[in-house]
Amino acid sequence: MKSRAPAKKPRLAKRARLHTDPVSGNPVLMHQEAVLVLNQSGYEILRLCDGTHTLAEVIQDLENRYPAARSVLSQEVSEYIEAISQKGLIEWI
Amino acid sequence: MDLAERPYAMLAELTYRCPLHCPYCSNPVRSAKPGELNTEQWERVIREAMMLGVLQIGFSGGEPLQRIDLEALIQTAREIGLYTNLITSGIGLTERRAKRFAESGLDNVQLSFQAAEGELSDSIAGVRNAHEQKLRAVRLIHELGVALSLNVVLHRFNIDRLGQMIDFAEKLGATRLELANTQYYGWAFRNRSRLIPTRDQVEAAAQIALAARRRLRGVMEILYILPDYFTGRPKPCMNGWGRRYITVNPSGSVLPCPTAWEIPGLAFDNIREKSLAWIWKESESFNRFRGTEWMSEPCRSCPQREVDFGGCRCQAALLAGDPARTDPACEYSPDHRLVNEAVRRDSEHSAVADLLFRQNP
Repeated sequence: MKSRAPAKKPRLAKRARLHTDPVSGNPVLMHQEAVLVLNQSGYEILRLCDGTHTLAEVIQDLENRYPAARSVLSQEVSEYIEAISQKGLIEWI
Repeated sequence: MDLAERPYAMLAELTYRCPLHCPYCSNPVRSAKPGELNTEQWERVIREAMMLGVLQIGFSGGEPLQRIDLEALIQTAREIGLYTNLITSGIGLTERRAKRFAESGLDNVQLSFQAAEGELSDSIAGVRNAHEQKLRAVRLIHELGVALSLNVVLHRFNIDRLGQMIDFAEKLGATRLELANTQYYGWAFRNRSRLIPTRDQVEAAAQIALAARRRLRGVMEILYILPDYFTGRPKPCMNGWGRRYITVNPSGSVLPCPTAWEIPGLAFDNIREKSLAWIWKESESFNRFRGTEWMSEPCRSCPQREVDFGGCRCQAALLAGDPARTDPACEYSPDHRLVNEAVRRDSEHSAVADLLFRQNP
């Protein structure tokens, strides 16, 4: 897996849209003819991928809000964003 | 019915009219009665679909650009949060209309190409300069910043040129490429003997598609599904009957799958008389093949029964004469020889000129 520079800013591709499923209340990521059902942490991560925060800032923000998970957050967030990136749904600016 | 079962995607077949004559079209060979739904009826269906759980809508046909209210329908869908896909040949996409689609919030255009080369493309579409008009459509779509997905239907006359098609799609800036082996319904079934590729062609294409998928990961998503006539495994059609997808045809009939009209004796309720929710939950057509109760052997005791859902009901009806039988594409089907024979017998010589071209309803 590629490692990303922490100073790069991840941004959801324009064709991908975060949405709340009105039936289940679950967050979803909709893209070209497909729907990815997210868990709450996935949603929290992707919400911050708006092109204004660097990867390091995204991690920092989540660490501040979930201090108990601090030890694993950095790696898990990076991996999650990378996985979405591999689907072509995140651009790095 | 399991409460988790709700439609995620709706195919809105706005019209069966189409300027192209593709011989693999899966539209009905005869047109639907009564006529097309009007704008208000479609707007109602779209709102009801959202309430029922639909997240994605595909505006399709025929050629949806033939409907002058397309921009209004896109806007209605987008305003209530649906992800909007326009599934089009690109023929008739003017700059003015493209702008209005983009302003309405259109999320994605799935544009069909018949081949990467103009001459072959036009000969399959049965229309001169169709390819050129599609290239113009690509430029318009990019100028407006709408996502582009390409769809190429594969058959004997273009499957050997898969590598060129993938390069072509990449060059055109598509972020998704659907390489769809012909499925034999509608016009395609009538042309099966002329369209079906050989086993060698299918296997070579699969290798090319797999290699390209790896190479283009994160750049262009490539969908290539092995054709069920060749694999011995049935496709998990629609991910299960009445489980994830819903189709509304031009006249307002609601179908569990776009080709379910192929099934003789199955009547479909119409949104002119019933609500979409009632049809999804209560109608006989949607409940007929839901779950596993309807299955007979070998499906009934098969460990794959909730993976492939017995395959395709339309194919069972078309080939074996009974929609409740195991899909003949399955190697365990007692009717599997029908598929094998079709592959063997149909791999004879044929030319584009021999094809039966789609006529308009």
